[in-house]
Amino acid sequence: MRFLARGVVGIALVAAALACGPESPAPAPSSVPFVHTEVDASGALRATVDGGEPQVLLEEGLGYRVVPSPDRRWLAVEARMFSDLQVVRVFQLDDGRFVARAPDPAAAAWARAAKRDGFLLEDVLRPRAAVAGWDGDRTLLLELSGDLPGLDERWSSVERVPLPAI
Amino acid sequence: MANVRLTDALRREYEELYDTCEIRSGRFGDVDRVVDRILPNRQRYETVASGVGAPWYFVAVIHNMESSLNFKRHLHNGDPLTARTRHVPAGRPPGDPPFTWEESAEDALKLRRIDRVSSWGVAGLLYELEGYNGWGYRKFHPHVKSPYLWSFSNHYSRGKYVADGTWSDRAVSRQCGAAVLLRRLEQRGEIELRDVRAPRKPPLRYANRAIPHGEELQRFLNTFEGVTLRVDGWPGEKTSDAVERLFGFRLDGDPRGQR
Repeated sequence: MRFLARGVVGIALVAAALACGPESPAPAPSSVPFVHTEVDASGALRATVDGGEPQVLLEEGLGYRVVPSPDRRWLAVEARMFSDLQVVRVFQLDDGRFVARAPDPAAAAWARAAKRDGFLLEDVLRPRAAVAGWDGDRTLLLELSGDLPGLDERWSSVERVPLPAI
Repeated sequence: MANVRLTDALRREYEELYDTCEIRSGRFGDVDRVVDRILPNRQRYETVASGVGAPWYFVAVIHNMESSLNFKRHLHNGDPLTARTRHVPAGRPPGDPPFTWEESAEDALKLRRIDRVSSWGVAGLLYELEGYNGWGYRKFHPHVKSPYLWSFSNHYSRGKYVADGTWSDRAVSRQCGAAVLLRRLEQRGEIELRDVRAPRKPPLRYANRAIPHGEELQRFLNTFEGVTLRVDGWPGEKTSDAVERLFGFRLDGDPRGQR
């Protein structure tokens, strides 16, 4: 029952993110797909495109926030994998369904930031990737942050993640 | 995340792990430094704990795991208390900022339904802690005990999810586990978990046959003056009598009962 309740909370969170989040796009013109997301009772994040069959995007998360690209052909999903680890996964619309990009662009952004700023990914405490917004339809702005050994302040950086044209 | 139920088997596992938890010798200083920072703030943890019906030490170890005991951050996700949370879970707590750490922490714990938990024995405590963090280790990498609980102890050596969300068998957690902190708090006499733990059967019982460790018990008893037991691994009446003579009680399960 507790987990069902968590799912309901999750639905509320996602709904709130889509409806009220600062990154929510303006109402989409009719030429772009209608995308609906929800968290089911098991905690899985599901997406429906233009009223079609729902598909599971992510199964294991304590909470989600979905930020579509302005043209709604990409979904950037913040997922709390653990209470102390939040990731962003990127999905591309392909033939009416969203498919995960491999390698994950958000994971690649972490690797670039770590190399540039001289730390190891395994040394980051409470890492968090969050969607800072979209720059156009093909550039995702990612805010990466975490606690690094020896630093009192939390390390953070905004990374531009260009996505390939469809 | 899908449910993991606290079955009898899982309950026994948590209790066994807790009982056999040993802090790695090179980590005692690190663990004690955290405990030394927790104890002066016990009153603050008790304030939050009373609002959600949890033990104060549960709140304290969560606080360490989620924000390194920083009282300027939301317990939800480490965002600053000067505004509502910006990240998932966003917009918490309800009301107008700035928030006190206590009111924010209570909201965070209620959001995770901690106020509905009724079992706070060792097993219940560890179950809630692991669930608070997430079940990913148990579900996808069961060969690694969750570092959220066991890092810095004999139950964990390596393996964790790193910043980009991928699994690494080589990576090592650099944060003390929550169960390890509880263990140390108990070792230092600050908390007592045993009185709320489910009763366990003693490892050595009266038996009508040879049992594991029976010979060890008899050899041990034979080191006392006046005890000469045959070492056959069978802790029957004579062994039980020797235990009674030395310690004042018979072996558990002795059909003659306790005097």
